[in-house]
Amino acid sequence: MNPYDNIAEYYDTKYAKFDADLDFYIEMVRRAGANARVLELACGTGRVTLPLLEAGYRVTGLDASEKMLEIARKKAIGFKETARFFQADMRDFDLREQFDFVFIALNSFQHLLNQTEQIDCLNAARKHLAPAGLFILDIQNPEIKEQYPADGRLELDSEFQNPQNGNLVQVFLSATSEPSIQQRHYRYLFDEIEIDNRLRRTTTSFNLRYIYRYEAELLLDKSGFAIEDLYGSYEFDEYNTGSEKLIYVCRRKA
Amino acid sequence: MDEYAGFSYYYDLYYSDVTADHPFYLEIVRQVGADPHILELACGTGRLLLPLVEAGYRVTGLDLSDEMLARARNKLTALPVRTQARTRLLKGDMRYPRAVLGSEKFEMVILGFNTFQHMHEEEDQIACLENAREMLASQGIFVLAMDNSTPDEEPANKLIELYGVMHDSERQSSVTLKVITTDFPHHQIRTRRYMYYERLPGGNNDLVCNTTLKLRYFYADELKSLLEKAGFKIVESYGSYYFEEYATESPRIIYICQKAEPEQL
Repeated sequence: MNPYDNIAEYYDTKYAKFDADLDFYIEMVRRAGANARVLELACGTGRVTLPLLEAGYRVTGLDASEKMLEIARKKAIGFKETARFFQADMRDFDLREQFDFVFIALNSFQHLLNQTEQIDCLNAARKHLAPAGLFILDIQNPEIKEQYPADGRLELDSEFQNPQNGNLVQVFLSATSEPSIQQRHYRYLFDEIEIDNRLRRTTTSFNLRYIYRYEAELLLDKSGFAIEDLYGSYEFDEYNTGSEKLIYVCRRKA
Repeated sequence: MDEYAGFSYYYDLYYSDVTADHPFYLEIVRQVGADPHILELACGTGRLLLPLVEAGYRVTGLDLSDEMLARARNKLTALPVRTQARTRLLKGDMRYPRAVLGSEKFEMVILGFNTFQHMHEEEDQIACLENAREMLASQGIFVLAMDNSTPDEEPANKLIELYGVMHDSERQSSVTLKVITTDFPHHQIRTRRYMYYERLPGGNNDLVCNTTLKLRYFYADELKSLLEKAGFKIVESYGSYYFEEYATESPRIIYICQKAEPEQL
């Protein structure tokens, strides 16, 4: 089962207010051209896809979780352009068309756990990129380890109200790491406290691969991308020691 | 506002084991004189009040929470009738005890544990202290005790601390208390989330009770100035319930006070 299927509604609410990257993507799409056709890989519930749709772009979203896409489709109603959402594996898909702007936001690329999967995904992305199009890869900078404790401690990650019933939902997170394979294992508990104080716990877990700077550059190069810019934040700061992000702006190699 | 509504059961279950301050108050009250009348402000579920009445003293307890008072009353009914007769439990605001008690005087007024820290504004703190002073008989003593903690020592983080696992023989349940400090650095106010999980026999789903407490933290000298401003003189100060001298790393700040000016007759 896809790890997002049973927590799709919670995920949508938990990240509803996360908008730190939206201005960045709106600016980058603008650079891709006025009528840019946009493709988002691992679009989830459309947190980034929908603001781009709202900005007037033709957007296509791809995700492995049908449950996540159901939410995205519901939210995509009532805009000038029509959004398309496809359930697909980002390592292996063929939409038989090309896009001016292709991106993978907020660490989703890290769900790919080995180099074969990473290269498959990047190759598929490149094939769907128009010759003059822009490709964005946005991952964590694994160098700032203190931001991501991975010693198994249980933390209260966040709290929110379930919009459907007003119940309090508490998200607990525990992470461990396996440095030899550059992976972290995340376990999430979504504790919803129902009206009679009864606890309803939904759990999910997944592994994320962390990728270092030059490793990512080699991967992109091997997949036929030329790196145009490397940013360390959504504010277009140059990548540097201590940067939170590794954000690659790429084009197809000639 | 009743901060304890809905979770007084869990509060009581956890804090009923806290008895470290009982010998301290029993010793202090022994020094007060014959047959003193004691007032405890914010007496809660009677954690301290009941041992005092059981030791033979006349005690009046004031609390703002109906739920907490109901628990105290319930426990009181299990005690002998003569003990009950020495006890009054009244609903009232610790800032304005005279609204309930009029001009009654007491040989000892207690504001213990961390109750004073529930008041974040100086206006409320001063009102509470001035009224406590007004409730004192001429040679009466006021005991103010609270946690000692400074922002630099305990940074807020997301870490969950396991405070305790309790068993309730009546409900046949086990209750786990987990606590997380979500905010501390500013205004000397610490926000703590108390999360109680109750596992009932045969149940698959815990019952959850969440509550947030915001406590104001005081520095020892700051508190001393506040007491003086409210018309008290400090007779003794301690850093623990074991009569240890106050030091920066002491677990408590405890001041024993009397009225600054003797009664004008």
